[in-house]
Amino acid sequence: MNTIIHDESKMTVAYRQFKDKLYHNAFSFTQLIALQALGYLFSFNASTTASGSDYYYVYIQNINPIPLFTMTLIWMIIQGFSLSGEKKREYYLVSNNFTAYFSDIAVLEVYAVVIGITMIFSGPMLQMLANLSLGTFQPGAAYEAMTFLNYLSLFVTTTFYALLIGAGAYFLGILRVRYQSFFVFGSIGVVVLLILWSVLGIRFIGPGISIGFEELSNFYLQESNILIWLVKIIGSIATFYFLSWIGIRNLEVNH
Amino acid sequence: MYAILPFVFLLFLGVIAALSYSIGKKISKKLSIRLLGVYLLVLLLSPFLAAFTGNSGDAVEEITNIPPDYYLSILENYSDYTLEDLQKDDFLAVLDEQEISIDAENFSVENPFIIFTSTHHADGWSDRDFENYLIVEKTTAVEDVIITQFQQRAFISGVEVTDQFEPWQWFLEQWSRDQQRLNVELHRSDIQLYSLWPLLQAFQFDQATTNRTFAREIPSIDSGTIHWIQVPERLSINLQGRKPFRIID
Repeated sequence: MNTIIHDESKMTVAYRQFKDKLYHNAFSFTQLIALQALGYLFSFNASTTASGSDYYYVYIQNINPIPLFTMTLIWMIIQGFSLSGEKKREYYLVSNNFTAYFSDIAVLEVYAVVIGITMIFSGPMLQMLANLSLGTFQPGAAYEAMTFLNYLSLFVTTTFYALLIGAGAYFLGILRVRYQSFFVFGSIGVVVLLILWSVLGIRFIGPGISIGFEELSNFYLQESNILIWLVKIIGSIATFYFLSWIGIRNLEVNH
Repeated sequence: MYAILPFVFLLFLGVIAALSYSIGKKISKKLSIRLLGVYLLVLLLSPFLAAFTGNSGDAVEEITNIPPDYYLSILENYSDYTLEDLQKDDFLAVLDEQEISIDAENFSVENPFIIFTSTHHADGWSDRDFENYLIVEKTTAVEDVIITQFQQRAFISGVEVTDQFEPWQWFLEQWSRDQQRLNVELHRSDIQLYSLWPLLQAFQFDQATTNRTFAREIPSIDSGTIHWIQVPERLSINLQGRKPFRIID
């Protein structure tokens, strides 16, 4: 039995491990459905626009899928983080660091594609739910003007962003697995360094300096050239993959 | 504000982890895969289901048919219409029908029944002449005062909001020791609409601009009301206002 298994190539083992992980983590899809249900709920109360006079006031409740996408990304973070912590599974008999890493990345990519597909249909799904539950519902001119290319770009961007978030979470998870208790201290150290950086930055450079989630996300979101955007996003994902591999390559699989 | 977000996020993750731990064992892997299959099927069918459940298409067509300020043309040519005509009019909706009980015998030419819609009393915050919206019909068909309120059907970006207008509330008011008058109270109409905005690219769309565009599209919908007041023929009335009422004798 062992001979037969050992005769198989790394890629075959990695592929089997990938299928096994997908099946073993099937409950994560239920988590996805639950989180997206919550996201759909929040999407119905995304923002309000109001206008009127003394005699009437029109409140326009804007339904948009941003909360849904945020909840979906949270799911991706959970998956990236938990996949990196699955190195103690006993059923990976012949797994090594390469197969574990490869299968994890493949699972994350499948998850990202699933996210891309679900986000394409988020608009029609919201429209259907609104039709069923709201009497005075207006699909919105911008929504009705969506073309095939819009849906395609939505699929591509959501898939890549999900992959980026997932790869980042996976890398953090690898650090946690590798350094265990030091990871906690390291995290606290990074927070302290960031606070120090902010304080010193304001003290010596002035209030003009600002580093936060918004500035970081603008690196991708404010990019108008699709090719440069692709380079940025693929480069970032590849960097996380590379750092994760550096972190996992000489890690004991069943330690 | 932003400093609290990581803690909220961690709390959220904790809740998810607790829920997953508690229900995860009860949901088998096969059931999870089936659930995903059903979910993806619903998503795939959602464009068809959205089209099937949609009902705004007809309304968009109708708004183009209603002449602008249609109610004004009725008020200007009021003698050409009957109450029944207005009730059957496709461009008007009956918003409310109120019956005010009075005893016509208590009123006379010296002591008439007053219909009061003075600008500054009925509507203290603007200079609006509500008399402009009234048609008073003296008829033998009624024993009490009956007020039928019509609203020109109103649409905002194709969605009908007519039924969200608050009807005027008519009431009898003790004007002096011997006199009663018909007064009206207005409430602001709060109209609620829902609009779906697209996610064109993840996080990349100009929501602020589209919202402003939509706000500009809201037409002037604060008029369009007609009040057809039927009073008993033998009732002596006095119309108290700045402009002459439209009276059908």
